[in-house]
Amino acid sequence: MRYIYLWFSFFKISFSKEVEYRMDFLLQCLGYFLWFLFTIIFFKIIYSHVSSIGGWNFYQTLYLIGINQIIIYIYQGLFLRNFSNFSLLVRKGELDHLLLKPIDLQFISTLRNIDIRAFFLLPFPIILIFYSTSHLQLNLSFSSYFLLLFLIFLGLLLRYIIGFFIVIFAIWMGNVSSLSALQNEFLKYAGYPASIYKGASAIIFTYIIPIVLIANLPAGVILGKLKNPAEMVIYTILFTLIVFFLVRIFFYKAIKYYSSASS
Amino acid sequence: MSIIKVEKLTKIYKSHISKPGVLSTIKSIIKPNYVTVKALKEISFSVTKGEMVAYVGPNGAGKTTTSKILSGILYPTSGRVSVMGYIPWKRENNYLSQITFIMGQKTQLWWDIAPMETFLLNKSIYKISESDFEKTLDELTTLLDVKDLVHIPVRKLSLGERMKMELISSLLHKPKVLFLDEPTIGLDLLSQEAIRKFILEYNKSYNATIILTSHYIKDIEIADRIILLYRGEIIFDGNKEEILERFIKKRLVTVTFNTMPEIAKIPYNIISREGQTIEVEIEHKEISKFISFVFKSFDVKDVKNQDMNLEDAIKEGFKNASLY
Amino acid sequence: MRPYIKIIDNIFKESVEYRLNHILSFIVIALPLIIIYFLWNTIFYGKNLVGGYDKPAIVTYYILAILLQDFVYPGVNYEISRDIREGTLSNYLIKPINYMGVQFSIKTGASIPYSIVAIVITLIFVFFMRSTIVFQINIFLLLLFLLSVILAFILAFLISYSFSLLFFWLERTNSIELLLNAVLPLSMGMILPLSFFPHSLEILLDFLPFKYLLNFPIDIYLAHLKIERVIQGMGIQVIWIIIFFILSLWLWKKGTKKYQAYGG
Ligand SMILES: Nc1ncnc2c1ncn2[C@@H]1O[C@H](COP(=O)(O)OP(=O)(O)OP(=O)(O)O)[C@@H](O)[C@H]1O
Ligand SMILES: [Mg+2]
Repeated sequence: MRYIYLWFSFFKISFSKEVEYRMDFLLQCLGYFLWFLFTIIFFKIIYSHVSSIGGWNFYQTLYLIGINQIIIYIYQGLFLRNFSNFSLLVRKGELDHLLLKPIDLQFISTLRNIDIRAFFLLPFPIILIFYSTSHLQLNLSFSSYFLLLFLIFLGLLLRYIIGFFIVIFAIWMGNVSSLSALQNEFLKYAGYPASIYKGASAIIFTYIIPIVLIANLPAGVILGKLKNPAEMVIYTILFTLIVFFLVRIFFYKAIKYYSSASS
Repeated sequence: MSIIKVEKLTKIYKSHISKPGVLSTIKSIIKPNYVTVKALKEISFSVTKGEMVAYVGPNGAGKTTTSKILSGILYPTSGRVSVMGYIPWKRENNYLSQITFIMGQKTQLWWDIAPMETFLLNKSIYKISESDFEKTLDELTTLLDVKDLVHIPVRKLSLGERMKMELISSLLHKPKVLFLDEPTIGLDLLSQEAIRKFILEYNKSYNATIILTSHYIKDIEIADRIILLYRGEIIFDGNKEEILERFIKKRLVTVTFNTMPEIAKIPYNIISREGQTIEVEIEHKEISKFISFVFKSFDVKDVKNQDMNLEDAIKEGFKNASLY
Repeated sequence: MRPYIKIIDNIFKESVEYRLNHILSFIVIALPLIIIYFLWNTIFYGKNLVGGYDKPAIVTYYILAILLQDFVYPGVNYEISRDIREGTLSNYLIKPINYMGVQFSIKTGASIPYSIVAIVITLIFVFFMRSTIVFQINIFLLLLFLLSVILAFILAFLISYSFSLLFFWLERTNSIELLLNAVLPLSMGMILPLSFFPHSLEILLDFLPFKYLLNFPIDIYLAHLKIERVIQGMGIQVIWIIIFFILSLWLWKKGTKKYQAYGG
């Protein structure tokens, strides 16, 4: 309960910070919109040359891009800033301040900075999803929307864990300038249809580096693109839970390493 | 012969009243919206070769601003400056090769590698010959007692050690004019002492001209001359004796009598009385009158003139200035 | 020349202090390479030509695009913006050294470890994908390619340097960053080879500097250009270099007058 209250105060602080810089706010929103736009342009042009990519037609791919973008925006809004700032936190010794606070360290260090502009952009991918839904003649029941929301949440959680896992390297390595680049790579390619991976690569990108599970799972389940959706959902839930706890342990080890190394 | 000449130097900082955002930035390019800070108001002074000047003033007085202009980092708003015949902000290589500017709060050392690498870089920037480099480096590291530390990454050095490295890297090219901005800030007493000694030593052995900014009285004491700056104006310029004369208006004189006279017979401000001894507070110019008076009138064993204190004089100077 | 070489050396030494970082950049380069390979492999399923490229050409295009990206992407130089904002620029101003030269050396020095990683990855990649890659054996073309990459590197540096000098006037970085990020990826040919675009857009891009950072050198390598076009393109590269060089000198002169040397 205290943590929910805390999170709201993070939100309030972030919000009032943003409102001060109104113009920058709009520009930044535009900046976040760019990659989304680029991806759509990319596929639009590709689909003007081919009619299908690995069995996915244009609107199915748009649907996937929309889902992925929803996850990206929520991820940017809630977590990304914290993760990009992490190596600074370590290098400049600001982590020390957080270590002093009587609050769960993972909570405060990964949820402190909220980037509300990302939330303002959420309508765009949602519109894209409805647009492609109308072209796909999908008739979705209420429960499948519910399922979709759940799967998006799951993808988000998974994305958080991957991001957090990358960040922990920062603590071990000190200067990690490639960190944010790496973060972005994972964001970008999750929106490609899973069917581009075949054989070994399909297994690797689904089960080991689970890029595919983030957005392709929700989109694939709804669009009926998966061979064995139930198993994959169960796998994702288990994978997410287990890795969540592993990463948490890993994090505290890294912090211990950090605090004994810097003195 | 004066090596630094400053005439009617004025610096006005303009800062945007920054309503943040690009649109207002663009607007303010078209119709500027400034607040101005007059950091220096027509100051003039000159410094002769080999002199060490303490440049003293409360926070925000304009000390750093002056040093930055003299070393060519900032353009002045108006006024004339010449250092060794050069106009600093033209930043001619010949000029830059003969000066240095050391800031206690900033480092020029490369953070993640050994100080030696920065030294070597400066060696090639200032075109120092191999033999000169070896010799100067050896001299400086010996003087500052950091011979063993030059190969350790800078981030692992303590603040004091880093400052010493900073000094070395800034002095390898044996500059003739040094601007030192709070070089002892944040250092322990021993390190402060070491750096003070070192600066004095450098000043003497290279006949270097130094403008030293500091808030520590001990740093100020080593200077030949003190310039007091208050809110962008020079309120005093002279040596230690003069500053005491000027600002210490009243002094304490201790008189010990052989036989205690009646207090009422002494028409001065007596601060304390203990046995045969009294302390009297007296205006500067009345001291000699007072002394002859007590000797003439009473049976006096001893008269002591209390030492004048530089710190008090400076504080007094600033207090006076604040009244206007 | 010597001080600039020493800066390159220092930057290299600094990056060696953090060698583990390069393992990460290994992933950053390799991951998109692999994924983009799979994507195009799938796009080409049952086709020989897409947008005038065959499969080896497109795969090679993206390999080169990803490898060269770091050298030729003229993003905001945060080092410069920090120097201006935090006043560390003063360290250079008081020395007889040229700041543009310093930054160029820093950029060059920082590119060395990246190049090493990039070359290793290329070798691995080329080994696994021999069959789907264009090997250019024409030495003359290779030399032209190399030359155009060097010109692109210089041009990218100057663009990024000029834009970064705008921080003498602007307080926050994000507007410039946004401007660059909005224009560059598409117009350089990072997202798609430019010949996929409508023809009118292609012609417009011929006159802007961006294409010459990435799309143009790669097209030389792929032997997609006639020799006249190559020479013409290099001429345009040189012209843009001169323009941005003069622009940056001018911005520097104006900017240092405005410089506030914060701190102290
Ligand atoms: N870049 C700047 N923009 C606007 N105002 C400035 C700037 N730099 C300094 N000032 C103002 O100019 C005045 C003089 O500043 P300066 O840094 O020279 O003081 P100082 O004497 O060095 O003080 P301190 O002892 O605190 O270092 C101050 O009022 C300060 O607020
Ligand atoms: Mg100062």
